[in-house]
Amino acid sequence: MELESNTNPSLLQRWSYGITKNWLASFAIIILLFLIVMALFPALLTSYAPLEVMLDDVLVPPSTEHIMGTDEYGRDIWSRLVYSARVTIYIGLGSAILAALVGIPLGLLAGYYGGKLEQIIQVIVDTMLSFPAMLLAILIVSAWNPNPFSLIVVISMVNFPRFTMVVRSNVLSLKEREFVMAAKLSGVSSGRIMFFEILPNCMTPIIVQGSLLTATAILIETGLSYFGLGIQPPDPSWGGMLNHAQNYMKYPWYSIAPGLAILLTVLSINIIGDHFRDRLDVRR
Amino acid sequence: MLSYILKRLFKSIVVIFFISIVSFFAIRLAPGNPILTVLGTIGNSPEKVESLKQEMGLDQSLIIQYLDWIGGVLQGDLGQSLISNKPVIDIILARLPASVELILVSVVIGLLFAIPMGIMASARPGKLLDKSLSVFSVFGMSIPVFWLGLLMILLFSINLQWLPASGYIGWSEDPIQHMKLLVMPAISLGIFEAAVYFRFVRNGMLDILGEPYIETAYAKGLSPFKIYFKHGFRNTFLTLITVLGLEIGTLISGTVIVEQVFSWTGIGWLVLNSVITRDYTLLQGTILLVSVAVVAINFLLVLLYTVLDPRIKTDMTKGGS
Repeated sequence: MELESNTNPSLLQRWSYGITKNWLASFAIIILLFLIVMALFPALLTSYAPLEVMLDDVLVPPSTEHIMGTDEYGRDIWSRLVYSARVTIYIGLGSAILAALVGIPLGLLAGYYGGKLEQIIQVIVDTMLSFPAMLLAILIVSAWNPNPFSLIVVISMVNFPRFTMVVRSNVLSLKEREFVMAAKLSGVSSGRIMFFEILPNCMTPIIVQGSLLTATAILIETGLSYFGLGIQPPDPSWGGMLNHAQNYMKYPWYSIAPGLAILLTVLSINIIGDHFRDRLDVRR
Repeated sequence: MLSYILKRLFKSIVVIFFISIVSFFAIRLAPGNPILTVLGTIGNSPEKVESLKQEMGLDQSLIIQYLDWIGGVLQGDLGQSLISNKPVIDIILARLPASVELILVSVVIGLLFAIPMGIMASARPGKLLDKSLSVFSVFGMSIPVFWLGLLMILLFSINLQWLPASGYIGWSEDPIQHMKLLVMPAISLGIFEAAVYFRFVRNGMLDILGEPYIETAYAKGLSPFKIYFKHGFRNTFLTLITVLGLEIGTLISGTVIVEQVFSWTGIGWLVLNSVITRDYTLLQGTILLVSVAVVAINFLLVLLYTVLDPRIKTDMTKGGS
């Protein structure tokens, strides 16, 4: 409603407009808010420590005491889920941000200057995109020591070309626009034009791509952890829990809970990303 | 057109060159002594260190090592496995059919779901069916394939006991068991692909149905069925070919995961196995070959696309139907 009285809505207003009317998007926001609470204040949500071993309570089914049951060491599964949220979000967001910091400037340079520079950047992008993401991640992680920070670096190396591609294609059309021409003619430096004239106008596709890549990053991280190449035990991680759960398939709650956590997280991020895209795509 | 194809070919070759550099140096530049990393799993002694150093050419500079390796690669020699001492190329080729089969079957499953769903959704955009199918699609893209695999094992192997949980048996050994083992990996992968392709079919159909020539077709009194399939889907199919190429990397990533969940002993399983045994020559060779295959497939799809693209021949066929 406020939108109508405001002739020039901010980006944030444009993105968020209609989000409460869309029940799916509202659901996604609630899940993500809950995740943030999990990541920031895990102790509020569980009284068990994630590494607390209770050998008397091994693989007990969900009960009032352990709402999601316990694992093979008698550790509380809900507590482990809650405490994994932080590292998952840290890696998801961290790698999306790092990928943006590398990918966006490359996209700006390629689109704005064109020529040889564009060709060089294009080869880098094509090379990185030719590696199946999971294989490249496995190759790098297997040689380097896996820890949350190295996972961020690895995943952003896999993902940054997507930012470069999106930004480049947007720059190509934006740089022909009048306001860029005007800035050029009035002697504004190329750097300023790229970062202060063109970049703000690419924010929407960047945000959409960013949410998509955060979701992809979480899938890659949980996948690597599932393979035993990501977060190392005993530290809890959703993928790592599934890795162990696979040996205890007779206890279904063990393998259902962590997967549900991954699904809900990735799903919510994707729904929000879709919402942004639909809000800004006039065709649909 | 020929010059365009040659340009693409040249680009592909440059990309392959860079792929070889990344696959080589990602491991060599890793912190730690590669020899000790390799020997960590197979026992350690000074003589072994020395012989391995020579075998791997590690006493030379990185550039020489790379040139040695790439020289061999160009002659079809990817080196020898550090664990089994067999030629890497033979090990890969032995595993290749299992992966290719899994990928092809899952692509077919994905398309069988995605095409009808996409066409149905595009018939009445924004309506209930379209919205429900879109929700399915975002679900399919968000569900971790390894978890989907585990759920299927839980349901179909442990509870219902319809299918064997995991493993691989060659077609020639036992075709029925082979098919039974293929069902779950192919479906888990296929669901993910259906979700991805669905979007492209739906949006591609919507784009084409908005074109003026579709209106003309309606005005001429063509049946909606004919319009959808003859005009709409035919053109969407071309987009789909491009998408298949663009998504092949994602598809292979999914295959790696699914093969591990179901112990389907293809290339993906091989990669993870070589990580566990620290068989770096095998790992490096597999990744190089797979990535080069991705480039090659994309190049072939570009060729196919230039041959198939109707816009090149538009003028001749426009009045036809």
